[in-house]
Amino acid sequence: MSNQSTRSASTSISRRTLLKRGIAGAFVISSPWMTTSARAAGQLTVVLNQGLLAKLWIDELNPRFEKETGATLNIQQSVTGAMLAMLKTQKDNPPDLMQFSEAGVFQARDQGLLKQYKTSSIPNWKFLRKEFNMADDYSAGMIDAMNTIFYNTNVIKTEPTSWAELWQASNKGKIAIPPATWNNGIRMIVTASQIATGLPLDKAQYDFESGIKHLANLKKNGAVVYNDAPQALQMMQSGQVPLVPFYVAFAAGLVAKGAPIAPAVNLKEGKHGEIVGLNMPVNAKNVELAQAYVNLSLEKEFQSKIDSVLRARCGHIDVVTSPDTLKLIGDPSNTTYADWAFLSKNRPKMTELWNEVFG
Amino acid sequence: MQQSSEYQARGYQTVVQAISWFTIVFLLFPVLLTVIVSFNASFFIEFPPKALSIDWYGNIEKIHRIGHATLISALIALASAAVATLFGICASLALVRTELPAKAAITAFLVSPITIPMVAIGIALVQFFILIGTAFTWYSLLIGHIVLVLAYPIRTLVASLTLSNISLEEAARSLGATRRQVFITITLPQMTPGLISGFIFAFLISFDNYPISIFLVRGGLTTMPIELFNYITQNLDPTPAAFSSLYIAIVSVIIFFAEKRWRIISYAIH
Amino acid sequence: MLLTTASFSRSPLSFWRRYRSGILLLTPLLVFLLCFYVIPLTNLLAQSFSFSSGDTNQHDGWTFYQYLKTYESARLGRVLSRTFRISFITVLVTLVISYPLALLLLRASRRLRTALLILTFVSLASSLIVRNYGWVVVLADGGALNSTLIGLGLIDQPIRFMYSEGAIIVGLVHFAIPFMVLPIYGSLLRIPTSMREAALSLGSSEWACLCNITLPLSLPGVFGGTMLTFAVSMSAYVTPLMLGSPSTAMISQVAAEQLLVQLNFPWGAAIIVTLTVLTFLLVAAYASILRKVFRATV
Repeated sequence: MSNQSTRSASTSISRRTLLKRGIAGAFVISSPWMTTSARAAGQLTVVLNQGLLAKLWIDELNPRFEKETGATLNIQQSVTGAMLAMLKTQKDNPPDLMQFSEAGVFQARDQGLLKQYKTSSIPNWKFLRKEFNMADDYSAGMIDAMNTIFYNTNVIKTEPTSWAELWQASNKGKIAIPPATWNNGIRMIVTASQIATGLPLDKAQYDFESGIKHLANLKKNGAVVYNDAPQALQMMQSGQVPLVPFYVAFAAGLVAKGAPIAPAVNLKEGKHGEIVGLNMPVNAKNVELAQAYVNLSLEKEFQSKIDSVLRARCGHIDVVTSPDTLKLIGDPSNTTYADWAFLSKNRPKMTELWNEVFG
Repeated sequence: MQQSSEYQARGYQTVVQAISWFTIVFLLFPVLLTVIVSFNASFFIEFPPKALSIDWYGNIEKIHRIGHATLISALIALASAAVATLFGICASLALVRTELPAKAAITAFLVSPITIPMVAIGIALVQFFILIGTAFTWYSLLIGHIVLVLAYPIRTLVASLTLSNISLEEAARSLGATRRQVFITITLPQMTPGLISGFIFAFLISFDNYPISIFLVRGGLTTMPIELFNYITQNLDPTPAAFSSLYIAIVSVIIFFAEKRWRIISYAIH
Repeated sequence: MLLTTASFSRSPLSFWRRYRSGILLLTPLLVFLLCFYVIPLTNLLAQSFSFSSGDTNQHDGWTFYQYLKTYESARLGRVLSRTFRISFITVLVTLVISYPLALLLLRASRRLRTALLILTFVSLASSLIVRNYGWVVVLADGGALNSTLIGLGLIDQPIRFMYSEGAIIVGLVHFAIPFMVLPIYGSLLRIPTSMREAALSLGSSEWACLCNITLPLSLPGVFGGTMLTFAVSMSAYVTPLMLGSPSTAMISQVAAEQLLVQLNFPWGAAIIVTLTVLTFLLVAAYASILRKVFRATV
């Protein structure tokens, strides 16, 4: 048994009370600092997407926006699926703008969660390419986040020319695929369906069950599922898993740094195109500021950075895709776009089936 | 006979020492490696580092809102630990020094948040707060953390109080001290080990929590683990290594200093 | 002061008089827990007995549909057994490597003991995310472990340690060591040294002393540590998220996905309730085994 001493009252109490009073004091001083209600006008809440996509906005656009309008930006980051959930649960107090792709736009619009843009208030809207104007003015598409097979040039000597090569026995254990929570994961199911049924994309995408069945064969071919972008990038640049379907925009920076990875620019079944844009939730509070943000994002100077930094096609009609970008994204006519209105409606079912195989 | 028991004793010692030192190295290993990687000039995680640089330390501020998030985490942790300890004092006094029906059941109930998955507590709370309209505020985050850490001070204080000597209190009472005097001069000091270790545990668990915080935050409210985690899952570079090294260094200095000055660890264990 | 009444009257007034101070002390805490713990969890439990908007064959009122769905889902069965397997291995490994450390702490000099305890506390104080990131660094393809093995010539190509069950177990063990060492050490401290000395002087070997005296008497600490480790592993969320892949998902991740992304609250709630009940039953069974078989007081 340890010796217990009863100390004199005065010293022990004063120290303890001091500590507790200090804590209370710190709390009182800092509490206004911690309130989360947006300060009246002058604050814009934008939920951006992931990785380099968001980084371009954070690094280049946001400082300019804050300087020009005097407003403060409250930036969060998320993925399409989680953003849709956010829209549904925060219908009364949503963020002002969200950056997600066509994978979510149609579903959000059909569920009455998005507000149509008043294009007359956005001068730069006239520069938007027609195909980037998604769902009739409901989404300002800005980036074609193309997704294709990335391969490690040290391990894979010939560039893949078809998605079906992933199923070849010679590639056993060399493949990683995206999770179903990522949009390109859903596109994998569609592509698998194309290969399994032999139909072109616009017919095959409606038969996702064949797609899942064929994708299960990929599991037998030793495919692993990656969790997030750094994991996928690590896998491909180390050569440990040399074939990874991935977004060109996320990997462009690494390619520029000289990593031994390259995209397959011509695939028989088509590369996966996915247009990412800025969308305004219905009930968003700061509509004018949001429109200013969209307008600034549609400026030619910023849009040309989408070409030069992200190596992707941008929405501005006057920005010509540079040759360096074309080297990475290949022939734009080889890029295919899916019917996301259908896919997003059936996404829960597709995800469940996918989980049964890969979970 | 003597020799074989000597060998046995030595064999025993060797095994115990070998496994213990393995465990110690195991505990240290990731920390050491993180520090080394943080000085690696390369963009990728490589070992051994081919070139050294301290650039990544300068990049720490690029972790989105990290300063703001760390401050919020620290304040919430302090407040929730303080409240939980206060509750713990009341609970332990009630459980050990007074009579109560079904003490075992009450104790089990009070300590039960530890056994519930944190994800369950987080989700249940966010739904509840949405219902009563106070979701995503700092006080709902605080309440969530109090529920999370409540069990720790209660357990350590009950243990402390159980081991303490009630005869000292009875002696003081019989010598004429009032209840308040007995509490302040005798009971409270005897509870000190439990108080300190309970507070520290509560603070650490709260500061570092992710599963409950992730459900309860939104907008300007965020915590350090959340921002660090977001950075790690979106970026390949070793900036988190620099942040981690800094964090561990600060924590080590604080604990070392606290042990030297107030002998907190020795208090907490004995 | 303590009321020691020999007689036992059942009237409400004497009930109140007897338990008054205890009840008054506990009331604020109980009210707090009622509002912010019992009610939200009950709400979650209630949701698990309802239908979600996407379900087929809905009807009003209570249903076991979500639990049936959980039971029938092959994936959830896999995830549950995986979670249990990982937790079980974690507890075993942690116990085996923590007990000797606790023994070492007992015999160490004061300086070494303080140093080791500080190390344990620093490990505890380092954020879980920081610690898991440390393991990402060690176990990565280009990380320390692979580089060492390649450097020693044992392998040519890096082994994929990351994003696997093994990596999760390593992360969980690393997290659990302080939770195991401290209670065991505390419990070892309460064993009078005279017992060990007596046994040794009567001719017992160190190993026999360990098995017959130290281990049984330290069971409360062992139970505390293992129970905590098991509970924490079963409900682990961050560690499998950082060190695993979707193919190694544990239950909390699956539940969180249903709740956060799919917004299927009833099913997510059912999954969580299943996990909690299962963990609780296992821990209770474990406690009763320890009490009956080893006659320990836990």
